[in-house]
Order: sequence, then C-alpha cells, then structure tokens
Amino acid sequence: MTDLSRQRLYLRAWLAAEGRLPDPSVAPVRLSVRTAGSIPPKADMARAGYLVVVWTWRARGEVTRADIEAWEEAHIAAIRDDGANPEVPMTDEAGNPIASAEGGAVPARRKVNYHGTVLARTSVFAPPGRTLQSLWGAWGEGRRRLERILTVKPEFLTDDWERAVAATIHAMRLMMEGEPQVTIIDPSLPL
Amino acid sequence: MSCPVDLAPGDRLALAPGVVLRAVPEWGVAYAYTPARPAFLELNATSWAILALCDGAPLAAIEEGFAELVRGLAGANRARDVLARGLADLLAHGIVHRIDDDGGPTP
Repeated sequence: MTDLSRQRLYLRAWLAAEGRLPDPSVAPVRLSVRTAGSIPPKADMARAGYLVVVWTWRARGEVTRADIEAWEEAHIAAIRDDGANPEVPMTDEAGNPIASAEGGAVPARRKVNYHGTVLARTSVFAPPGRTLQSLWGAWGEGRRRLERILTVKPEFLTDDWERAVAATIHAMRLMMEGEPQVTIIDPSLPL
Repeated sequence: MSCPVDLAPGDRLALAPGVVLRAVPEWGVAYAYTPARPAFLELNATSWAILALCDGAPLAAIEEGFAELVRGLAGANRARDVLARGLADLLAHGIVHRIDDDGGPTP
C-alpha cells in the first residue's frame, strides 16, 4: 500500500469517527507564545509604567508539581483578595485605557499582577513560557529551575511591597533549593 | 460539477511546487507552507482529504475518489458542494495547481 493510499484510508477513518463531514477549511496559522499567564505586551507595560519582577529559583528535589500548584493557588488568592490591590483597567500614565493586542482590555491590578510560574528559560528543554505541566514529564525531568513572574507599579516597589503575599512567599522559599535570583526589568528600556 | 473556480472534468490537479506539507494525524489536520506567497496554513481533515486526492488526477477522478471517501457521511450533493469549495480554497491559497499533460503548470 502506498503512503497516499494509507493517508486516504486514515482520513476516511478519521472522518467516519467524526460522524459527519465538516466544511473544508484552510486557515492561516496564528503563531503566538503562550505562557502560564497573560503577560501584556512590553510596549503596553512600558506605557502603563509597570516593572517586571522575575524570581528564578530551583525547586527542591522532593517538591512535586502538585506542591507548586497548591502554592500557586494560595499565591493567586493572596494577590486577588488583597483589598488594596483591586483589578483595574490598564491605563497609561495619563489615564488613557490600554487595550491588548488580543482585542480585550488587559487585566491589571493596582499594585501587583501575577503572571504565572513557568520553567526558567535557562534550560534547552524549557522554551520560554513552557508551563509547569511538563515540569516532571518526560521532557522536564530533573529540570527544576522555575520563574515566577510579577508586574508591579514602581511606587509600590518598596521594602514592604510584597507584604500582602508574604505568607505565600515564605511557602515558596520552603520549596526552594538555595537562594532565588530576583531580576527587575523596566519595559521602557530598550533591550 | 459547480465549482467556484472554473475547472473542467479533465483538468488535473496536484500539490503546487515548493509547498511543504506536514500532516499531524493525531489532530486530524495538516499544515501547509506556501513559499510562493509566504503563508503557513492549517487544513482541517476535509481539506486535507481533498488535497490527498490531488495527486495529478483529473477532476473527474478526484470527484469520484472524494465521493468514495465520504460515502455514508454525506449525500452526493453535499459531497460535491464540499469538494467544490475545498478545491477553490486550495487553489486560491496556492496549495494545489492545475497541471498540463507534461506535469507542468497550466499557463
């Protein structure tokens, strides 16, 4: 049997399994980078005056993906439930609204936004933004460097700016091996 | 057949030169890159099935093959309509082209 015949048989089986004949479709592929959270485009963050704070850390050997997800849920709740950190429309520094490239308003919080914890981009097996789902999978085995990504308004980048989430930060530290590396990025600066 | 593009039963269709096709059977889709008019396109199973029939065969044989492929899933009219629209799409995107008897593109 030729490859082409095999392909046609496969497609016949596929369509039969669908149980109907879908309309034909040829659609452009939209390439986009997906991360664990929604990170506004760099230009928007610069206009909004946000800084990006990236914690890079190595998980302890005994920590599981479920542990990290449990921590992440508490972390998200602490940020969400902080009364001083309500969700607000993202605006530039003059107060004009910023709409994201995806078409909707970019969700933002007044002080701190959490954009997810993803595999650190230092590993060749961890393309930027690869989610935790693969951390302990076949590709992620043993590669335990993670990045927690936050954006903050600079006026809140004070000694106690993370007080509202201190408990979850403490919990994160318990999962760390060694010290975290904290990087602050100003999106308004050229790369 | 009533085709949105002008095709005669004897017209032969094949994958256009330079088009790179990658099937992803698990998802029931195929991806095509068309370098002549740079685009990266996703074909659903129906369009992919139509493309799989465009191996230089004349339109009449493609029509027959498609009717056979979708027998039990769609009536003859629906199958003809889907094939016509699918071929029009594939031609419009430059994924398939008409060939002459020597295998070259029809002027």
